[in-house]
Amino acid sequence: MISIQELPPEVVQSVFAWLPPKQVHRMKALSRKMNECLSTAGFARLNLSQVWFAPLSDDAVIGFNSSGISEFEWFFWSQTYQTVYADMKLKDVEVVSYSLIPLLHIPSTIGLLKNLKALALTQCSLSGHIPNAIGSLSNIQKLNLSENCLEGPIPIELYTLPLLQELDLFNNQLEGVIPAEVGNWVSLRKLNLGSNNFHGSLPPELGNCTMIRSLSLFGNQFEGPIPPQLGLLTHMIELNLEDNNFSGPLPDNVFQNMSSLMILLLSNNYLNGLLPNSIPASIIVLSFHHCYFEGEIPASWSLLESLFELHVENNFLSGDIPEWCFDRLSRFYYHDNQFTLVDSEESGVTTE
Amino acid sequence: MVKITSSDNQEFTISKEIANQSVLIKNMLEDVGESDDQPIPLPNVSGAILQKVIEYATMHKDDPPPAPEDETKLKTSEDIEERDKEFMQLDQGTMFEIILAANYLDMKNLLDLGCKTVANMIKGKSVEEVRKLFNIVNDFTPEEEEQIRKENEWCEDR
Repeated sequence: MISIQELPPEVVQSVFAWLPPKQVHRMKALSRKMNECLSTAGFARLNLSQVWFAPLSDDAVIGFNSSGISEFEWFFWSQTYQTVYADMKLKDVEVVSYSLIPLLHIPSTIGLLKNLKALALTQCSLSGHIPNAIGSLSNIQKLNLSENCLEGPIPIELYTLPLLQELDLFNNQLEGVIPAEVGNWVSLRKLNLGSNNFHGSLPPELGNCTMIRSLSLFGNQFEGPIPPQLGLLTHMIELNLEDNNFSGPLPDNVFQNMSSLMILLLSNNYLNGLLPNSIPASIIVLSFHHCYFEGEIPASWSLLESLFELHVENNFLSGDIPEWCFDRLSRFYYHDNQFTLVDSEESGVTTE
Repeated sequence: MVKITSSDNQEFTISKEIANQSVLIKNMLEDVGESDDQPIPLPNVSGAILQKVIEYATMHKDDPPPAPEDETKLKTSEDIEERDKEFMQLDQGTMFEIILAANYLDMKNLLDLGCKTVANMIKGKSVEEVRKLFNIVNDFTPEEEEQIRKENEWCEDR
């Protein structure tokens, strides 16, 4: 009796082309011959063109559309399937956004989605490296891979994406340094590398990224002095360098021209010298705690009408605490310094 | 009328409209011309199978020509006419023989029917179930099998 194994490959392919892609992938395990038949690009094309939106019970396939990918099976397919489908259907996709779905890794075939403007894979249990192929997404504006387990460096190819406006890699295990090429990101508005293992000093070229509104580098092992070029980032609204190994005094007037700055967080570093004199009037939250600052709270700060919260605890500050700190601030933390204190100020914390 | 002979030398006389459902026979008839009434030999198909194929072709001889394919229309293997479903109630061996014959004779509709029918038998089944159903021997080395299992962890039978 003739068996399915003896059918010519093209007939076997015609049979299996009717199955949902997920089951096709499973059926490769049947035998060598089946595996061969089901692994060609031609078969993938036949299968996908035949059933890509057929409603197929539990094995329901895909629902990619021009506004974004709404199903995620593509991430698990074989590279052949991914490539064929990207070529057939995903060239025009502009947004891919998933959260809380265990996608496990970023396939390098993501680089085939040439029109992608936004890629967000957050809390998707991603591990491994960020593929270099992301660097070929030349239209990408927003890239958010936050809250995963990604490791290794930011691929150098990513620094060649001149349209990039937002890069959020918060809470991964990424490492390496920020290279001089960061200066290519002339459109960058938001950079969050918080809670990773990056190290090294900040390159002066960071000063080229003049569109930056939000820079978050907290929770890494960055070191060295704060480069004076940071002062060129005059659109800054939120600057968070907490919990690193930055050292040395702050460059003169580095925050002076950040006329929209609302949040400035520098605590838990090895910074020393005087507290910065010129802080923009837009400031709401200032945090300098657990550093090595000395001298007095600058008199000029009394003019900061919007200041709401001030952390200077655990430094080597001295002198009298100005009256306005107690009168105006909603939250004021000043303990563990060398201030000249009167009894009522001993607690070191005042909150409204 | 057209005469055809099977691999085991059974001769069948069929109408031209039935014969023309096979692109292979149609082309042969065009090549040899009207006058020749020599039977057309079909050395790849047995008499028993040819009998079934003729039965199918007779059932479909009055079908309207197929509508042009609509690329955007859903396609599914569930889409089978009732009479075709009944026709395919066969043992596995015969079913595969018919599929082979349809492939050889270039009869697209019958080949489609056969493929859909087999696909429906596979759909929803696990690898083990399909191996058993079609008597497929697992000829992978343990290493290869492990490799494939790893690649397809995401689609494991749940």
